[in-house]
Amino acid sequence: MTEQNHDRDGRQGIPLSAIYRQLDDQPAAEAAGYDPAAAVARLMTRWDMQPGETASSLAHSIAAPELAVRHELILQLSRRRFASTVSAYAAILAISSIAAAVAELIPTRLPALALAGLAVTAVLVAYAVVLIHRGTMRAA
Amino acid sequence: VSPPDGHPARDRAEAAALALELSSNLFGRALRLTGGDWSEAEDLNQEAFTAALAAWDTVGGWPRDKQLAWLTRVMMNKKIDAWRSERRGSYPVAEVPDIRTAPSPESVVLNQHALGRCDAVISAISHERRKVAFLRWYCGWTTREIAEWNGIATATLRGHLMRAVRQLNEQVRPEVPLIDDVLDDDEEIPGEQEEA
Repeated sequence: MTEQNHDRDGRQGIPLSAIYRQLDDQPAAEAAGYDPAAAVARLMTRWDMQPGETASSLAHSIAAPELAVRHELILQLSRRRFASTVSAYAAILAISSIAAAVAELIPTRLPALALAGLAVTAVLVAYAVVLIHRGTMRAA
Repeated sequence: VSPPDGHPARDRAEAAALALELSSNLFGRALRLTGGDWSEAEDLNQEAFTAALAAWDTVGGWPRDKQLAWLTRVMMNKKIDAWRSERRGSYPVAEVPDIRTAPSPESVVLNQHALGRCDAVISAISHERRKVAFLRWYCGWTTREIAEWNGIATATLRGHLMRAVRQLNEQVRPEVPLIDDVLDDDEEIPGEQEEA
């Protein structure tokens, strides 16, 4: 449709077709109180979307792919931290148990062996901390 | 539109994201289509987004403004179908033309106050007059097409349109009058006719 500003009788004026198009971009007064989130929730029910699927898929859709990548990184970081911590505790427990067993076998040398065991444990703990730190930095 | 079974979760999520972004705007348009009927406007809105999901392979890749125009057109077609089903018998229906969602550069801009008054007057005019006014100035149908579709005489339709224009001019009182600018098949723009 050609834009023009005459009617069939030659009168000049504001074309009503232009008014109708401009109204399209005006918020309707009656629409105050409309809740788009509730409308989307109804749509999701209608489309058989599950709540879990909704949350993760929407996040993936709105901020993809950066958000998904960041989310995956955080998960990996958490897994690495957990694995490193468990390894460090297991190592400390093992060394302490060995030190205690050796100390029981040689009662007269107990103070010296206990000190040696503590020293070894401290070194291992420090090493475990360094490992955890490196793992964290790599994951981030 | 039936619930779209078998659509991938990602399509549904993207269509839902589209609804979250555009549903307010589209709902305003639906309200104007339905003359302020909130529940019918909600139904039209939901139908449009469900139609979008059904056609997501095509619609999903478009830019937002094109998606908005498409959704508006779907709502408009559904409303015209609803009007058709209100009447007995069937009448030839012209294809609904593509619509532009943004005003053209040539459009004369009314101030917000006058535009708001236009909106209020259009909402308040009678159902029949609002319907023919919408088909005329929003869809760009000719008087013959509207008259045939509506099952009324062309003269009666012209009367409806003339009274709608008069009502708008009387109640909005713009500095420049509002005019029916849509041309019928047998009409030419007076200025252009003289120049030719």
